[in-house]
Order: sequence, then C-alpha cells, then structure tokens
Amino acid sequence: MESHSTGAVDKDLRMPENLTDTPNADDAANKAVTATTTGRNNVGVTAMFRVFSQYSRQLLLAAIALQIVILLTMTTLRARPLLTGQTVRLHVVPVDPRDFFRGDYVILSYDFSRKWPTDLPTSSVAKREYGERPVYVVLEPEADGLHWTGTKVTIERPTDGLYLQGRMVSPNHLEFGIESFYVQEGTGHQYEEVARTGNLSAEVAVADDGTAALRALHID
Amino acid sequence: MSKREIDEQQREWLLRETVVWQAEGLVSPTQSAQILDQYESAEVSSSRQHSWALTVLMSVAGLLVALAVLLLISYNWQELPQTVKLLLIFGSLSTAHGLGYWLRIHRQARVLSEASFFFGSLLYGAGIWLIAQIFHLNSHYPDGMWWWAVGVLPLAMLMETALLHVLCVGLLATWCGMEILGFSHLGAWLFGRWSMLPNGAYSLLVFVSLGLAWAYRKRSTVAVGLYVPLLAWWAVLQPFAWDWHLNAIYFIGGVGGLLLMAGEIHRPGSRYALVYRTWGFLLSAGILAALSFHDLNREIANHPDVLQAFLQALALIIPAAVILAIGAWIACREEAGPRSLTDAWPVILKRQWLPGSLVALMALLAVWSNVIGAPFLATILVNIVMVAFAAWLMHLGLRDDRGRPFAVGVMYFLLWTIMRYIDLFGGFGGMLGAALMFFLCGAVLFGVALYWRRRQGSSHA
Repeated sequence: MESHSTGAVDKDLRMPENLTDTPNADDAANKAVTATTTGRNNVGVTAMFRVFSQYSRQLLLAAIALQIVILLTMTTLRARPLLTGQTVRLHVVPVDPRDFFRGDYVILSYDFSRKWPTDLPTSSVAKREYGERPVYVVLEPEADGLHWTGTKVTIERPTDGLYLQGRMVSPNHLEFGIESFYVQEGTGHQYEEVARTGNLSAEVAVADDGTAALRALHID
Repeated sequence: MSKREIDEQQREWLLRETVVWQAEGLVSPTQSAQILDQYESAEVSSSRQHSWALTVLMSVAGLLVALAVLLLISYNWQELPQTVKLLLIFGSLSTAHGLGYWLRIHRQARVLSEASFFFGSLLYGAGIWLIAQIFHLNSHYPDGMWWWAVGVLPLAMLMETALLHVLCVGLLATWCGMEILGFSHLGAWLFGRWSMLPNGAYSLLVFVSLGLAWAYRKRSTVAVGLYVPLLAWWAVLQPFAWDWHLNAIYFIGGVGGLLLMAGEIHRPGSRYALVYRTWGFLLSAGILAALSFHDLNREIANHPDVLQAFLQALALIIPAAVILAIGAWIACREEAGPRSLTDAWPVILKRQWLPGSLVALMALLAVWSNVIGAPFLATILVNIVMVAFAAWLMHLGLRDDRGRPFAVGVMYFLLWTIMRYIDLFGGFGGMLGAALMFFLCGAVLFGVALYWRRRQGSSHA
C-alpha cells in the first residue's frame, strides 16, 4: 500500500511499536474533525477503550484468567466422571484413523452405537425427521460379571440404574463422548486387529447423570 | 512535544533539501534546525526499526520454541501421568502469561511482553488439544479452534500491536473453513443446533466487529488488512453453506462490490480504504472477468434455481443499503460534510456509483440468469461493466492523485481487451494478430505512463 508523509498524531492513540504504518497526511485534518465529532460519533467505542486504558491491569489479568478458566472448565467437565463415576467395561469395535492435530487415536464403536431408540417410530420417514437429539442407553451387567452391555436405547432419561447419555448424530449413529481413544503413535493398529477378534473392551467411568469418560482400553 | 517518525531515506532527503533551502535563502540555519528537530533522530528511528524487527524475530522464535516444546513433550507424553500432564499445561501457560504481565506492567517492556503473550496464547491452544487428548475428548473438532480464538481475542484487544490479532485471524479463518466446508450439514449453532439454518459460522461477525473496532481505534492498517480479508473469506464461503453451487459466482462478485462500497465510505485518500478496495477489486474484477465469457453465462443459465437467485439478490442488496446508510451517516457527522441526509445522498452516490452498480449488477444477474436466461445479454452487460470498472479505477487514481489505482485501471482495461481478442478473434488473427494486439497494448501503457508523469510534473510545478 502507498504510504503518505507523516502528519499529526493523536498522542492517546500513538503506537509505541511500529507494527502499524505511519499516520497519513489527512490525520491533521482528521484530528480537527475528530475532536469536534468524537463526542457524537464514537461514544460507545471511545468509552470502551477509555475503560480499557483505565483498568488495563485488571482487564489484562481477566484476559489471562479467561484462557486458564476455559482450560480448567474443559478439564473439570471431563474429569468429573473419572473422579465420581462408576467404572464399567464395554465391548468395542475400533477403526484406526490418523488425526493430523492430535496424533494417533482409535475410533471406538459399541454394540449400542447403531441402535434406534425404542420409544421412537421405526419408519424411514420418522428416521429422516428425527435429527440430532439426546439419547440414553441403559447399561446392565453381563453374565461374566466383568462386562456391561447396552440393553435399551431411549430418548427419555431413565429414572434409575446406570445409563449413558449421548446424542443421535444420524439415524444409525449414536455418540456418547467415548468414541475416541488416543494412543501412542503407531500403536493404533494393534487395537484394531484385536477388536476384529472381539477381544477388546473399553474401561469407562460413568457419572450419575450419564456423562462418561474413557479410562483405558483392555485386550481381553 | 513528541517527535514525528521518519525513516532513513526521508531523513537523508530532508537533510539534503534543508541545505538547498539554506543556500537559496528560503530558510535560515535556525529554521533548518527547527525543522529537523520536529522529527526523531537517526538513533531513535533506528531503535524503532530494530524494535519492529525484534518483535518479528521474537515472535518467530516464540513460535518455534512452542513447536519444539510441543513435540518434545508429545514424544514422551504417553508415559506421563495425567496429573503431571495437566501441571505441565497449566504451569507453562501461567508462566508465559505471568512473564508477559510482569514485563508489561513492571518493566514497561512492551515488545517483550507481547511476544510472551503470543507464546502463551500458542501454549493455550496447545493446551486445548492436549487436554482433549488426555481425556480422549470426542467432540466437534472445529470447536477447539473457536475456543482458542475466544481465549486469544480479549488479550489481543488489550495489546498495542497487531501480533495477537494475526494469530486470532488465522484461527478464525481456519475455524470458519472447517465448519462451513466440513460441517454445513449440521445446522447453525446457538445454544444447540438449528437445522433450519445452515452452519455458516455466524459468530465470526462478532469477532470481526471487535477486531475492526480495535484496528480503527489504534489506527492500524495492518489489523484492518487482517480482518477485512477474513470477513471476505467468510462471505465467500457462505454459498457453500447455503448450497448455492454455480450461482455462487454472482454472490462472490457482489461481495467484492460490497467491499468496494465499504472502501468508498472512508475519506478520499484514506489508507483504510485501500484494504477494502484491494480485496474488493480482486473479488469483483476476477468474477467479472470470468462472467465476460458467454460460455459460462450459458452454463449457469442451463441450471436455474429461482429461490437461490432471489436469496442471493437479497443477501447483496440488504448489506449494500446498510453500507449506503452508514456512509450517509458518517458524511453528515463530519465537520465540513453535508448537514442532512438529503444533502448527503448526492455526495454518497457520486462516490458509490460504480461499487453500487457492481452489487446491483450481480444481484440482477443472479435473478436474470435463473429466471429469464438470455446469457447473451448478460455477457454484454458484464463486458460494459468491466470497461466501466477500469474507467472508475483510473478516475479514482486521478482523483486521489495516486498512481496505483490508475495503473490497475489501465491494466484491467488491457486485460479486458486481450480477453475479448482471444474470445472473439483468437481463431482468426493468428500470430500476426496477437503481435499487433500486444503492440497496441504496449503503446497504450507507454502513453498512459507518459501522461501520468506529465500530470505529476505539472501538479508539482
């Protein structure tokens, strides 16, 4: 962009570091105009930046704290089931993709991940109409005493017992927040191979409101 | 009184000129010294240049160190207990930002503090993805980018430089692209998914508004130059969210016209207007060039969609009306400007006739091609507007006494000439015809350059 000769600079707005270009020739004229019209023109924006200047330290601390709070909230929401929930084992079927951002992870699927809620109509029209919505899977222990299985999928929150809360992504796809497990780079395929034989299970912590978090994968 | 900024070349020129002025008796030695004293010394100027270079160097260094730390930790990541991982994340983030705060408040070392905050913001983003990995989070992954931008923008608004805005804009552009190109089928999000609206990443407008408010307040052309293309990127992606397919070409051209309109509500010669004009020209001129070919217009007319056409036209006309209204309001608020909206409209229309016509043309073509068809007439109209666009750019350069828009206007006209030659006569002229055409284009350019030089010479005389 073309530069202009230097002109008068509003001291309140001067940049201490030269990451901005120099003021242009119309700044002197603009300053006179701005001085008489600032009060009318930019009351909101000017007031906002005056507050920024007046409370710069407090606002800086608040902005820093915001980043920490966001991370803490992420941590707390996911750690809650791990700290307070009941741990169960679920049979899984994995697929191993490559996530560029997060390294190797295994996609997990469960025997209830493709079930249609029992309290919804089963016609193809109904399946098209019922879009993304909350769903719940009732969990009951299997005969081996180690594993649990999903016995019933509903759109109404169960009133008792252990259950998972998830969402219907599509008519044949339910997600419960326990479908990805991050593994050491290059080790995902071994889980995929074991899962094909039906010997892979996921250790899941389930809170009393149905939210769940993965703890570990086990080769049975 | 603080001194004005001046670079090395300007100082040398001023020193030479003051010697000449003294020799000609125009100024006394005392006055020369007073003139030179208005500007910062060579040492201060050099220090300021070094500060800028230092900022850039330290930012790149921060980026590389952050990446190195990330890779080092990730190599051993799987072996670390969860608690240690979390302590590393929060500890490094707190340290980087704590250092930035201390440098800024207690040492007034603004350059170093902003580099530290930049590094800290990178660690914050890394923290989002690492916590997702620690807890095997299975969520909509573009959300990670969005939350990263949410954490960075407030800090960027409190800084003096555009460094954090660069990061913020990069994150938002990536998030916007991910959401619209990958997940437009999900529906818009507002405390839940709304399937009646496509997923158009609409919250980006809030970020852009805040970013532009900061940019104008701080008089940062760099920051305006970041947020305007981000807005253009978002607008250009909307046809993908709304499934407008081939008809999207009119909307994209119209977005270019809207950017040009936004440029024209700034004062003549305003450096902020350059940003809007640059991106507006790139979009609208490119689309016009494509639409100047009859084959494309015929192809579009063969796939009509009337509803899309009217939606697109509305999506162009409404923002255009808003921009005109804002332009009139700004004009009325100026000291030397018109006193009422009625007086403002001739002023506005004088500056907005071409950009407004571009937007109107795109809206009209969207409806015309889908409702009536007749691609031949559409082609003729587009070609007329291309020539008018070139003429407007030349007029802009003459009005503001700036060579660049004038030259761009000339080049665009020549581009139109070449395109029409190839389109209409390319099969007949052969090499001889092409040689004649290039000769004529060269002669025109030469003549225009001579004219501009003469004009500059007479205006300085």
